Amino acid sequence: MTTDIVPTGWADDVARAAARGACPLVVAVCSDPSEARRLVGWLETAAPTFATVRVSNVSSMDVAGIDGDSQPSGKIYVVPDAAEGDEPQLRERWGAWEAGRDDLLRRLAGAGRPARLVLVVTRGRMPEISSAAPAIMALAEVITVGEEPFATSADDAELVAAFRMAEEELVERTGLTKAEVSARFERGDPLSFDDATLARWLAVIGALRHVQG
Amino acid sequence: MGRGELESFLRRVDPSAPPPEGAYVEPPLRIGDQLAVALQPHSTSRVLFVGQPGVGKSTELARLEQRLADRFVVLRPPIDALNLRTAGWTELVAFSALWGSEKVLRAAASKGDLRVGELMSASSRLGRSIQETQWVADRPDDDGDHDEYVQVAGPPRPDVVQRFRNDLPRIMAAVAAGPAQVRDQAAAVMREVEAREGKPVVLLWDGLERLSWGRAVEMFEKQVLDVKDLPCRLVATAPVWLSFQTFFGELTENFGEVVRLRALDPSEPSSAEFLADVIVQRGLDFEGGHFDLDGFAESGIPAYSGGILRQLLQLIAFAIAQALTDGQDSVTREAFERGRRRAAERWQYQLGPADFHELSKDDRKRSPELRARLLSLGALVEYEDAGGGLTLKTNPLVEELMKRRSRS
Repeated sequence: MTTDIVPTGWADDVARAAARGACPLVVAVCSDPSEARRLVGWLETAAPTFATVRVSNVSSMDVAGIDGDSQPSGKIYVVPDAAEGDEPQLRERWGAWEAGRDDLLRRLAGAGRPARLVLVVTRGRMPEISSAAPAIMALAEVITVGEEPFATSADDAELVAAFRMAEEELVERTGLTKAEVSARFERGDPLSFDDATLARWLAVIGALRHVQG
Repeated sequence: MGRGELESFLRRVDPSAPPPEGAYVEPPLRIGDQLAVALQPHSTSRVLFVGQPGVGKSTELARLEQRLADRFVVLRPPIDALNLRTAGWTELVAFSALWGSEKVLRAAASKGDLRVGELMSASSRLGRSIQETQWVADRPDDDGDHDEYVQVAGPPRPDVVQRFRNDLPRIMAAVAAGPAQVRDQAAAVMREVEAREGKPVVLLWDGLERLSWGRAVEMFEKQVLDVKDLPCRLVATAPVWLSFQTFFGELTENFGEVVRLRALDPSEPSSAEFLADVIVQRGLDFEGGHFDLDGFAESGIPAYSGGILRQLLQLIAFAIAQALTDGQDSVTREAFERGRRRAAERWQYQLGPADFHELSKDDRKRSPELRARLLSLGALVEYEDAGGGLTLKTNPLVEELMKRRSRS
């Protein structure tokens, strides 16, 4: 594995990939377990804006628990501990998902709106995971998650800083978490911010996301 | 025009799903014809279907299933419901026979067709051999036989897929006690399917290319004779790297025919035309304002796809998803570039320094093991050259990663 891997998304990108992304499987690669916990917190808070979120540990699931769910349609299944365990456990688990990939996809596709599965992993376990499950990796949307909004170019860097300032201001003022603030805006429910605050936030996030008009 | 249309495009290019109804495009080498011809010679023709991940094998097999349905009983069991990391050919044969039998019996029941006695008996015998009916209390019927089963408690009767998923270790233990008998009984079920339906059986095993190195060698090199007595035609997919192994010659003798599906070199006009047609059939209009990329050919998408169908769809799907995330109603160059990086991201984890070093070498100097690894990861791509031979090239998305590495 290369050592110069840089983030290509942040928590909100994972939420959006899970909700409206290109593939029913998302592998979210976090730098360490604490970042993974933060991501799961974000998904639990922000992703319900788009769909029902079900967080299930590996130990309580038969291939992501989809089997036991009579109505998987449109749901987002989050597996927070997909990379936990010793090497044999990891190989066994990912090997099983690999061998049953099409079966898993069929169950996610189900009837109606497809369900999505987010496998949260840590970077240090990726060599074992990618060797045990190349076919999962080949199909999934793999996102290396950074703590901050992702800037693709130097031009974005200022916007990212402005975004973070506006975000912190709102967090401080409302007592909500960052994910809750983001979810409120996504729902069109921006609390009781004054017009100036609202305009500033929308301008920053709009520019960051390149929203026009 | 708007986000709604982009969302609808996104659904039509889902790389994990088969083509939507009516969107199939015949590849230039007419693989379906090759498979159909290879299956013709005799009632037990065997075809090994080899190709890299993502080149369209499953799509071709689904197409073949439809195409042969008039003349054959085509069985395409969902073999990945079976854990092939531990199960072997005999379990696969038994699973396929029971799955096929269940499919035929259900169809007969839905038509009120009662001519199913022989098939039911054959599949019951096989079922008992692998002890997959112990969830019910059985009792002798009027003949003193045990063909009748009565459920006394518990969850609904599982179908074949659920039985194998629930009970695989027990089934494997039963198979190990008498694999030849189990195979004979599975063969009897297949013959009964053929007799009942009045058409020969074709079995399609799709997904064997995902076997790990060790399991593939074990099954294709050491145990392949276990399928020789299967009384039907068979197409089985296989990992592409098998064709670089010393035992491949022997394997092809057992299988008879090998059909290869390779990526299409996008620089070839016929390939470029095919890739464009795939996009058109999916309902995407590059000239209609949804893609701000100067047309499909000029967008760079065909070149970056490497002629691998799944990669083509991924590039477009990731670009559309990125545009939607960015709040746009058309795919811009920036959304495409971000989507392209996303499509390449997995190789950052799958390839190490040794792999990149190997990729930079001339193919004649590559070690067979590493070449096999790079092919199975899609970092190297197989193309047909003008003379019908093989050319290997680095995947264009991986090439971009290599450039980035050399710059950093």
